[in-house]
Amino acid sequence: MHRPFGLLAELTHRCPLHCAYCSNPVIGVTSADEMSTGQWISVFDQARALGVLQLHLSGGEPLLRPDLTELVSGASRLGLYVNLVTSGVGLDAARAADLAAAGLDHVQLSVQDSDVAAADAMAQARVTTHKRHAARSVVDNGMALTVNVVLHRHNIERIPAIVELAVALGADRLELANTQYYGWGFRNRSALLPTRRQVAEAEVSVANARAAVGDSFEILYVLADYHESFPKPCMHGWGARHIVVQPDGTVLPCLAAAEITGLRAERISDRSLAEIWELSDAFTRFRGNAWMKEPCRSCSRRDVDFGGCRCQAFLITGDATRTDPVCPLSPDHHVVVEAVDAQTRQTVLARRVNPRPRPSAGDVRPLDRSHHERTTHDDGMGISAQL
Amino acid sequence: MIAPAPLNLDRPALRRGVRLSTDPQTGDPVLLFPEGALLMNETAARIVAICDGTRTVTSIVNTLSGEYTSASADDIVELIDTLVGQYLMVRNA
Repeated sequence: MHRPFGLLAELTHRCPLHCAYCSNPVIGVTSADEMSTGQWISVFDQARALGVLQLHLSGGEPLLRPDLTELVSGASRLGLYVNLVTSGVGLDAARAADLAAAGLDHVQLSVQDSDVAAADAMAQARVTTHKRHAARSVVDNGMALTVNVVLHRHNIERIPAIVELAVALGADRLELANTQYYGWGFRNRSALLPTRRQVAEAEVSVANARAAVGDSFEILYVLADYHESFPKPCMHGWGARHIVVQPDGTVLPCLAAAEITGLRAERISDRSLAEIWELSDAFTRFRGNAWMKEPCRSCSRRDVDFGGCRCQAFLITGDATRTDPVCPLSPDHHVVVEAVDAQTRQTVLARRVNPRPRPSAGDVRPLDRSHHERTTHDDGMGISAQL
Repeated sequence: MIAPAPLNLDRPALRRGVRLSTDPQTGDPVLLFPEGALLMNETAARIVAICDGTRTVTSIVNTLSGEYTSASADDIVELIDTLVGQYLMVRNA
């Protein structure tokens, strides 16, 4: 039997930023449905008993939870390695000191860009000063700091300046992660995908930067999935190592799985985490390789890349049992090639919005997007975006 | 006669954000870091535990040579090199 190693806790789907590449589900959980402190601590306790070593406190923006220090403290007492994934908005010196004292091991701070105007345009907020203070607060309190930059067409050519910025912020590591196309990112794919030339140049920039910084500073590079020759071994296999818990206690094998319609996800209030991990439809549907169709079923790489990503297969083809279209052997591979080759650019970015109360049962209607597509303005990246 | 090993005055230590812990399922030592975990045997864990940034590699080798762990000087230097290469340890704290 597999055992989980990591738990990603999406404490809230609320966020002060509105990044167009966000991988959160487009229809998020509202604050009224968020779990209580006690419910989260119970999740951590059950996860630890299952063998989980690491806890990633994520969101949305986890700093919006007033009980964050209490959650860190509870997880740390259980022996979990605790990582905070944050935009840094709201992370001042006092809060950082509290979190460090509670046992926080590591902070992953998102940075949108080395260019201030472009960073603020992507976040739809003035974030640069917040991030500088947040980085300083983390380092001054002795916690490890990774700066995470999501790469896309509009910032990928600034890798050298981004590396300089991360070093100047006092980070221990820099993660350069090409956009993964889920949630809002999938909706904005054609506005975010880099060109083949940009990706080739980025790989050279990363190699040069690694040589320049030496072995004192780690630079991680997450590949541009759509541009690769093989699909990514997503999550090291479905339901194999990781658990994601959404703000309302829904338990999933990965953060994008909420978008696979028909997958029966259960909540932590329904049954124990152990039972959900071992038995639920959400975790067992694609575990192992019995679900595979051709060309995966007979492929020599079926236990290397596990057929790629189920969520990506679903988003692109509507069928989560198909081969990840990133794979050249996939009958749907042309969709990925055409997306990369497309010269036409999406002109409007669908901006991440915070979850709103769902309509009541008597008021079911198609998702009305007009309230967040009121006006457009040029955001300085040559593309328009909603305010 | 074997020539004495050259002095190695590096003072290795785990990198910030990396810590030694215990796997709750197996009781085995495990090294935890921002994006992952490395399961270790008792010998490796003993070497890592003594790399506290105050001792030189030569002193670490001398200390451990008197213990049951029976790690050779080469084993110790190789483990430190591996962990430095994986950005889990720094050569000098």
